[in-house]
Amino acid sequence: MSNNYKCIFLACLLTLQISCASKGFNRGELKEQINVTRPEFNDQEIKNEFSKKPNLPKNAKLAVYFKTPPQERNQSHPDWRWTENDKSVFAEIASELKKEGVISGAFPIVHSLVNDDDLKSLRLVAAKHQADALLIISGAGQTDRYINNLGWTYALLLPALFVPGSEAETLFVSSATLWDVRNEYLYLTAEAESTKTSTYVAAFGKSDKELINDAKTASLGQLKVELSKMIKGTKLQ
Amino acid sequence: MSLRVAIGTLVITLQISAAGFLTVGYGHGGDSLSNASGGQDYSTQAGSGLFFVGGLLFPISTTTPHRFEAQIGAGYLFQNDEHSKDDSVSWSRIPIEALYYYHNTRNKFRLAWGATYHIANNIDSRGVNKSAETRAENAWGRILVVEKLWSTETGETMSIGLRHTSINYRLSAFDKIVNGDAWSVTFTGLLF
Repeated sequence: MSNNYKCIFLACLLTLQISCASKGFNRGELKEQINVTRPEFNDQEIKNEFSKKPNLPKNAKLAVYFKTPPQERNQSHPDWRWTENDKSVFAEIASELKKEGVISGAFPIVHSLVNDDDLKSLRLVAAKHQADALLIISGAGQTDRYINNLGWTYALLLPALFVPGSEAETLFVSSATLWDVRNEYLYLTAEAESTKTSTYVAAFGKSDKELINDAKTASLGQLKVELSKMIKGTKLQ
Repeated sequence: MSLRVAIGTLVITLQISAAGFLTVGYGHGGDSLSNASGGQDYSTQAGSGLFFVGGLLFPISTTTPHRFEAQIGAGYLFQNDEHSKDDSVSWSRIPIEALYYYHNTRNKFRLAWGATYHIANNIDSRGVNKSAETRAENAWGRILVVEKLWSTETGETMSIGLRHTSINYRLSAFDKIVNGDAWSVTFTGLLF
């Protein structure tokens, strides 16, 4: 083989290697999805934030809200939803806090009462429930699918039935924020993320929904630990 | 996983994620049918004609930027040579085709290979070319496609493409085989 052919062959191999690679996650988009407020960056706003003081009564009542999963424009339904299992993770934290006398009780805010997922609307609903604090749990997931080097065999069709040439990388970011219902004082924030990677045969891969659910369970497990650690370490009253 | 479960999963997945498509195009090429069917005077080539094909597109590998898709469809392919109301020849076929696409989602193009099966291949004629009327046997052919895709602001995906069809028709009445190879320009709309 002449040197020229060798160079062309190596260049092709390199191009294929590069083009197989994952496109990565759009963390900006994920961050956008888990946000509950859009901070205004002006001096007055910063001054106002400093003037807020924690004023939770002893044995405060806690409202918990699970932010609606974001939905893309061309999707008929979101890729994931909050399951009863997910919600029970936070029920466990609430009962722990109740046992320790930090709160008098916790209850969920149902979606039918909420018009908009923004903080002001949620505080209003929490106030209608006579809650003192509001815990907002939000999450966002993304799956990046790409082929590995074996994936090029899919061009022959039949290998798509038995060659593990596809990779799926899923990232789920969950976040929790605890607010004072009366004055919007932010007591704490906690964030956790989980990434799952799987190699699969094109025809039999798991759906985005299944992959995101796996990553979500792992992420919420971490968030639970993080959140209870922070609540116990923060002076709420 | 047993074979039945695997096939069942595959069928359900394909049903859920299938999208519709509609292709219109015009092909040109192939032998003259006039020569093959006894030398009558009309200008119809075996591969030429206007066609439309509709069907379903199934994602096989939903990876990015290298995606693979399979497509099955059926349509109608025809050409008319009408000199007057009483002097016309029409050459029509019903193509049933299966294509397998490599779809580059980053650079928005598709390449495909596949097969086509043409049925109901009829030369209908009136007037001076009445004797040319015949039927070609069902025929298998090969297809190669290259397409450039674009999406509209409202999310619809369309493509403009070039396809080569390679096919031979057997006119049993005249004991002739005619070459129906054609180059076509296509316009496709994907309906998700």
